[in-house]
Amino acid sequence: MADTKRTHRPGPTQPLEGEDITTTRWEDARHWMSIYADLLEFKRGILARVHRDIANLQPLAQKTAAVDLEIIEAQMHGYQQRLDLWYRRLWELHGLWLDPEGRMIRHQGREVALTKREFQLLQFLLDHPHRYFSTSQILGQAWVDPALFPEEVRNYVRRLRRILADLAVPVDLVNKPGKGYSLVFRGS
Amino acid sequence: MKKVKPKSARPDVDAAVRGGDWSQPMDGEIAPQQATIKQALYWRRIYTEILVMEEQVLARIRQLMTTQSNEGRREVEQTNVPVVIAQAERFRQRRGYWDARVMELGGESQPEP
Repeated sequence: MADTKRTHRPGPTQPLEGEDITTTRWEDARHWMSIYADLLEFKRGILARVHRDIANLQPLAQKTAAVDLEIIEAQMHGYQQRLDLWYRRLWELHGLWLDPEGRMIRHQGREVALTKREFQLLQFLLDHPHRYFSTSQILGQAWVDPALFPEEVRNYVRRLRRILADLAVPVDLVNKPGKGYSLVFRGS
Repeated sequence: MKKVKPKSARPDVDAAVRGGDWSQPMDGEIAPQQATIKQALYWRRIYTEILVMEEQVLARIRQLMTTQSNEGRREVEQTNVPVVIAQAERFRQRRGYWDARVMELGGESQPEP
């Protein structure tokens, strides 16, 4: 799959057959999250293969085949968007809601007021589910203040974990060595 | 030979399948009928390489498909597989033009990889 002479290819933002984002069953949301996570993993496998094979081609053939990478990446972007959508739907179905105006988090009728940085960190992680972020990425992207010390991230992570536990939100703010922090739905 | 494809809700797939148009040369590729034997051998080798790659990608897709859910497999069948097949077919056709030109100029035909 190569050489389409296009620079922009939108990914598959349309739902797959049988996919219904208006479902009221959280099990459906989990089901589609798992499908999109698998499809992303599948695309990563193909991408790795194409990267490896392209390196062995003549320069002209490399140029033609490089379009494959664009197609795969565009499709991955589309799958990632659908996965994010399902994550948001899952939060809704579990009664989790963030109020940016009042910087509040609500879960199943209970609510807690957050500080500005707590709110920004939580919103950033909720907006980018299924991905891991290093301390420096959080400083630069969640808070847009790379001048802060990495210890600040660890401090706010501890505070958020306590808040999420107090509200019984079924997520874990995990820290994987070499990958960083992510909000992971419990059991996923 | 141009193929007319129906519009679908998958512009990424439409664009990629259009890339399987047999008449579409690579950048810098000249018309086979104007090529010298050296040029013809060069372009046959380029198309052979890229065809081998596409076939390996297709094999990898089929291998990875076995681990997908039914919904995931259907998505892959409707997207990746036809795209790679269309592209491989294009490269096979163009490789054929160059192989024919090599023979016309007194060279030996080379079986497909």
